Amino acid sequence: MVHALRDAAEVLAPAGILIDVRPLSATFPIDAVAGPLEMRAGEADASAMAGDDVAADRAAQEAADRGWLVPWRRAQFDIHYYWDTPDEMTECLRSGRRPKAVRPSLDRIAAAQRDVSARASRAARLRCTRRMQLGAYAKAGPA
Amino acid sequence: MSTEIDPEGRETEALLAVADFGGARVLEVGCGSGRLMRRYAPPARFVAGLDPGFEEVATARRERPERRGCRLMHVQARAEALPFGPRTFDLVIFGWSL
Repeated sequence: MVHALRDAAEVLAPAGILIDVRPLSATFPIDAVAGPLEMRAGEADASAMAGDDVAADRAAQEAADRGWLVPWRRAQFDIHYYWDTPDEMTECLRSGRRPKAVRPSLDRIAAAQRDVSARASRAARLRCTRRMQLGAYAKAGPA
Repeated sequence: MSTEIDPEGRETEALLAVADFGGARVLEVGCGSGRLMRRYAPPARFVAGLDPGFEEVATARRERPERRGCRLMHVQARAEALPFGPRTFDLVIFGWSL
């Protein structure tokens, strides 16, 4: 990671900006949603990736310590994922660098989805909410 | 698989708020299939997306929109060996890839 940041700083023009944006590794909620109706259906556990967060943060700090980049701005925000079925959700959450465990069970999540659909008189979707971290760094040196 | 990621555009909004993309030369390191770069590209001069995965780059090229204005390019390469000269880009983005 540090080498990638070093090379990225090299290809940045003077006064250029490097942005690191990624989801944070934490447990995140899964809701069944249909219009204004929402119901908590379960949660997914991404904490197995916590070591990746630490490594990435350390790499960025090392890039700053070595004088390649200057920390400039930091922000957090939430994004949503949407699926039509529990199977689609499961396939998505099990892909990627680290599969994420889903709780309590697909059956109970599906039941929550059916419940919201019935109350809303329309098909409910499953939605998860991921907390994102954004760090922006300025290229060190004269502009 | 049908997954809709951030249809509200919050990630794009956050990126556009933190830096000036207008007329910028942008590199995204680890661009995958190009989902994110297609969203923030419109105000930029050009966006180069780099990924080590052959399938990801092929998908990104297939799904590249036909448009005038901002130019998108996709390169299969590793982040530790960027195939670009010094001082080429105004913005470098590590999108879910650091």
